[in-house]
Amino acid sequence: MTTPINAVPVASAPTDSPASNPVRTASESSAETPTVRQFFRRNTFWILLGIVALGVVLLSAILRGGASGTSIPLAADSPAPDGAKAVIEVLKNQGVTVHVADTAAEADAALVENPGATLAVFDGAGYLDSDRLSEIVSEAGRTVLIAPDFGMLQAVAPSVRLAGSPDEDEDAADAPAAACTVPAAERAGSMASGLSFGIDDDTSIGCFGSGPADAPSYPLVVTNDGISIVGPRAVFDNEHIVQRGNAALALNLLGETGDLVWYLPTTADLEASGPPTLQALTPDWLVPATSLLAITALVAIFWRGRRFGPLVVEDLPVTVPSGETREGRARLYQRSSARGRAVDALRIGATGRIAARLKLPRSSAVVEVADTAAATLGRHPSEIRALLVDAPPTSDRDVVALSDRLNDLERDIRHATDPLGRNS
Amino acid sequence: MAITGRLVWLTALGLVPVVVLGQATGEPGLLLGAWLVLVVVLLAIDLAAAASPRATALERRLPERVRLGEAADTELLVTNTGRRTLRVRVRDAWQPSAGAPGIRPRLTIPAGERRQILSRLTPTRRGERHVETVTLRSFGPLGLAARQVTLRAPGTLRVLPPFNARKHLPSRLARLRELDGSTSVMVRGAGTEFDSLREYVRGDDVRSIDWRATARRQDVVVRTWRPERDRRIVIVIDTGRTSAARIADEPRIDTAFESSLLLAALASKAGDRVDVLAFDRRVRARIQGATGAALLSRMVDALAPVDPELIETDWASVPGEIRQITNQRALVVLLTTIDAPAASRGLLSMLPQLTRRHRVVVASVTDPEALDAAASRATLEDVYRAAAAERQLLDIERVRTALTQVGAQVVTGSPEDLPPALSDLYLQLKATGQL
Repeated sequence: MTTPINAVPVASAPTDSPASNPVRTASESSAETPTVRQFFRRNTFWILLGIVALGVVLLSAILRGGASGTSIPLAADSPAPDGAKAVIEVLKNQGVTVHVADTAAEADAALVENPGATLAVFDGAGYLDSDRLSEIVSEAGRTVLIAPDFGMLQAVAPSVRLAGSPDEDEDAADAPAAACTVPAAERAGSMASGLSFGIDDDTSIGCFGSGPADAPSYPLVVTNDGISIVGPRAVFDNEHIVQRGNAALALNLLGETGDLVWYLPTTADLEASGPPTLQALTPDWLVPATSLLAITALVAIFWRGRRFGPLVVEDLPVTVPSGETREGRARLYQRSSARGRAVDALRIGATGRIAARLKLPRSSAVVEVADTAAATLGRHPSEIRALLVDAPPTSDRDVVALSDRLNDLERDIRHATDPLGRNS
Repeated sequence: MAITGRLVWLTALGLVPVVVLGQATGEPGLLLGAWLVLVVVLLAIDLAAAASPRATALERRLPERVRLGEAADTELLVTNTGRRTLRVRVRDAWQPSAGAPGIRPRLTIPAGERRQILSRLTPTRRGERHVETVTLRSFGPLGLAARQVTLRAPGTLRVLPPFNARKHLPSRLARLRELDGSTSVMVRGAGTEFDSLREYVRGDDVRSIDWRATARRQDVVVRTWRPERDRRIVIVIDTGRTSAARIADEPRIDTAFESSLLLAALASKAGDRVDVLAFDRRVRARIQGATGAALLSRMVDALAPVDPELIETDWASVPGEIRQITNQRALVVLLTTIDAPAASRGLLSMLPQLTRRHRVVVASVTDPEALDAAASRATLEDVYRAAAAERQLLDIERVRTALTQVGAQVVTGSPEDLPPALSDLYLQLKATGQL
């Protein structure tokens, strides 16, 4: 084959046709690919639909506002179910100045500026070091410790220990009564249940006690040095503040003094000691570099995936293998062990060929053919008859043996009628 | 729009500034953004600078027909009608079985100039091969991106049946000449039509001496005979479902085409008139009234796009179709399949109508694999297969007997053997004056 394809410059005059056959020329060329304008015109509906859908998504995101996404529990400005915007706003309306602090330093500063302020601490993630906590607590006039963990309790009120959460129904009517002398608890009358504490000495007062009489547990404990420990977070959050006496309890605990420092420790409070984190170990450029590689991969996918024009369709003819029915019939014989039928076919075929060899008419009877064949070969007629007609096959072994003997017979007849093998 | 590998590498190259400068300045994210903006800007510039592939005129030159197995040289002329130099990659979207070389040439065409793309098609299948579109990718000067457009440039190439059986033609023509009296060997009975009188030469059959003419002249004169001429031959090709079966990797219909082409070539040389009909439930192709060289070219042209249809052939309307072609006595050749008695019932019930008026030959391809399968009996599986093959052969034999009983002649053969066998039967009929 010569160069199958090449491109050569030609003059504007038509060149000689490459083949001697009649040649047709076609010069019609209209674009099938739509222009940008045509594309927009044809797909106006879908484009508008896409814009509307995008608008709806954006609008709903704006409407949901800060509620969307993962908010910090008890954040002062969060209207989400686990935020604490409700109680903070009510306190503000009641004339309490609320100082929101994110770090220990800020909380410190606020406490120094407003001596005697109430400090509310909630550290669900355990960012705050216990030494730092006791330092801050010592500066505050009053402290409300919300859902403290073991370390915090050890640091601030070592006589109070965690007693777990009673598995009590939230909506049960027989919520335990205050049963203590704390004014806030008495006014509240009841409170959300949850994390409870046990008391090891007589200096602390427990409220809303439940459990066995010899070891009661209290969701609210007030120590003698002005620290109120509230077990259930639900007392303060937006979702549960209106239930039971939660609102009264929260407002009384937090609004006792004119100033409130609302301190939720963040990652900034983590001690920068110990082994360096993974983030500190990785170089700055790692994330941008991997993003670039990902973008490169996308570009490469577009490069390789972009089709060079539309696919070409072609109607292909049906392909019917001719041996299909034969093979199907053979497997059918075998599966149903149709030995008689199979052997019949072999016998009729062999008889026909033998008759042709012996120059008998095609219409001659099988017995006649068998007798003539026996005479030709000098064998006993009953033997040939058994082979060609009589002996019924009873097993697969019989079938194979019979087929072999038929073959032998045909070969013998061939030799007998044509000893030199001229016509074979 | 399409992009090139160069753009991918350009994007990847951004790793260097992001890592090296990013470490130095401490702002790798900013550098990443800046690099991406740079890439997008370069892409936009390149796209804007690329010549519009719409501003091209395409012209296609191709031969109208090509025989299967041969190659066709085609031309595609691309004219740049725009004002910028076109750097373009071309895809000529031929159907796969047109056998186009899978090469997409790159061309640079200055404004107002034209380039020619030569490509050689080697079709792999009979029929009509189409091309509808040409896709052009016009690259920008930076080679980062391309504008892609698909233009209509239709073309059709008719791929004719190969007629491989023509290798049998010379020997059959030689035998035809022997019949014709144009060679010195004269065999009495080699024809029934009186041709001429000529002088006796040694070796002539004494029985052909015309004594009356010899009496008038001084020399011994013999009569010569020639085969009949101007006989009608109607070839009916069955394009129904059975013709789709592949035997020795050739559909029955292709063997039928080969056989009919060889027969038509021979018969038109012998002076007979040949008409061809491809039929299943309606006429797929009809060649009537063509003689000589035009006959073969019209036949291949008409038969090229005919493919088997997966429907049962309507034999009952075949006599009517033949009556439309000729009212004279004719040799009717039915190229079909004789398979099982049940499947051939339509053919068998129709045949008496034909044999009453015409001489009928039924030609069918036999499967050489059936004979092989009937002979191999090594394992149990083989024996059952042999039994099935024997059953198949018996079925064919029964149909053949039935066909002979209603007065048709049957010729069978493997795909290789059928075309010459059919021609030999024709020659035999002609020699014995049975047409």
